[in-house]
Amino acid sequence: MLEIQQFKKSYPTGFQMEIDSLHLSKGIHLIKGENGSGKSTLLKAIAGIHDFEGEIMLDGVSLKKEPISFRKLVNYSEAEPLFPDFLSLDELIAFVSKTKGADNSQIESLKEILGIGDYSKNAISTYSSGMLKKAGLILAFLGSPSLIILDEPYTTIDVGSQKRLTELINQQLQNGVSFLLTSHIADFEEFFAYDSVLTIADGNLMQSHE
Amino acid sequence: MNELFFKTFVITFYRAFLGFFILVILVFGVFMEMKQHLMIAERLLQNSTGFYAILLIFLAYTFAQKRFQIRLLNDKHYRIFHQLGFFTWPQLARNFLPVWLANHALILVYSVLLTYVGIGVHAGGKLGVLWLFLIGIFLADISILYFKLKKPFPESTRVRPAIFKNLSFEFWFLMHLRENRTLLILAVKTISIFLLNGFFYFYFGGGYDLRWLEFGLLCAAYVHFPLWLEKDSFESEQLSYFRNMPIPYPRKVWQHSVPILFILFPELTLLVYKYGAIENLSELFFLLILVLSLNMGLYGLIKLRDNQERVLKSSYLAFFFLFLLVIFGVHPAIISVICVLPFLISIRSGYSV
Repeated sequence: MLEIQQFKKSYPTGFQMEIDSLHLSKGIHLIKGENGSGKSTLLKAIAGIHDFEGEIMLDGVSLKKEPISFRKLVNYSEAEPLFPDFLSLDELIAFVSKTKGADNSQIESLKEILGIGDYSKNAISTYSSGMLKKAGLILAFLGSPSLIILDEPYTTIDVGSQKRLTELINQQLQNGVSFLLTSHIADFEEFFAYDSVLTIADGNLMQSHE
Repeated sequence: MNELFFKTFVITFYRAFLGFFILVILVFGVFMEMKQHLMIAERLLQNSTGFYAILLIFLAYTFAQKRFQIRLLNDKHYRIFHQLGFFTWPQLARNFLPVWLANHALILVYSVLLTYVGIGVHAGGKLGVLWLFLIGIFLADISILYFKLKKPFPESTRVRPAIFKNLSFEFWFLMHLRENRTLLILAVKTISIFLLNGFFYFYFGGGYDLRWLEFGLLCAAYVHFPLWLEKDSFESEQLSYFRNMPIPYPRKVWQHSVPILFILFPELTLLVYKYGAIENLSELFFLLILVLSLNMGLYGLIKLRDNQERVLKSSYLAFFFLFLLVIFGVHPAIISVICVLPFLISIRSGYSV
């Protein structure tokens, strides 16, 4: 599913991340690591948001050679989602639905699962951190992506929504969607039957049980 | 979708360049009459250098608009619009045509005026060039956006050169102007200097006394109005963390005076250059103090008022009050003291920056 070769990412601050080779099969994968270890850096590169050296391929599509085709296959929810605060979630959903091709039934179902309710009509500036997180999660599930990247998906959302999100991820897994997750929750490894657990420390990657 | 794009790419553009548009309206709308506009348009169409200079100005405007749009798209809050890259070129052009028309309304309106005049003076060739040029910049605008959206975002990590490592508080507003309000500071300075030069031109022509120059300095201070609005909003929004810091009052006076002094440096230089003869030294000294105090007073007035409507009302009243003081020949030192008072009061609160 996901193939990473000769990946290198350097920052002017001196931080550097290198991955010689990584292969992830279809399924669900967890990335662990301390704050500032490079998890989000890797996820943003895979989502096509930030540039990098090397090659990333998803289902045979190269991010370097076919960036738009690649980006259409990947949905991404940031750890701390940010949106223009004068727009409403409904407006953002309408925009992403147009670019990612989602229908009304999918939108309504996602709103119900994550318990958004009438909040979606309000401006983002009125949202709490939990609502903002849910907004990012809804947008990450729209359309029919091959890979969904969720950076700290459970942070700031309520327990009920956490349970429904777990069910949603399991349901999407059965539909053939793959997941890359990160989390700081201590027992997060027990939430799903991961196909692999990756640990990042100081920009270096270690892989277990793939 | 149009409403979403309008909110995101049009309103934000006009909000960011509000000061510039206010200046354009003031200079071209208030200080100039329609007769003058028609005369200038006719001259521009009859003179090739003038005509191509206008095209160059249009290009600079479109460049500023594009630069703003790209900076907006690079902002973390607007990352979701990276998905505009999924549109084909025709889809992007269709969706962005209303945005382009709205953001270029100023140059489009002027092009309509040039066309109206051009038909009268039979300048068909130049009008053809003008409209082809406008279509060209629209196509270039969409193409730049199309190719930009294909690429990843630039990194947000910014490492400043060593010289800025210890940039002190006094220079933060100046840095903000340089980074985010380049066009505004340029426009304010250009108009202010142009205006003061005009006042000096008539002053040296004879028939006017020092009150004429004082009135010129008052007008130039009001040209800086958008800058002081920007300073107030920068301090209340972006520097809100620094409110209620235990900063001694003299230090606060210093922190506000330094950026004002730097911003007014061109006007102060112009005064010294134009009025710096030995026999005028005492008058020059008071004029220099007057420039600083008028601007400080205007800034203090803005800072003292909590909403824009009250700011505008107070500023109109202050203008006429100061105008009367100048007309009745009140000494510039007294006017300066009156002006500095609102400035000193406005920064005394521990709850303001």
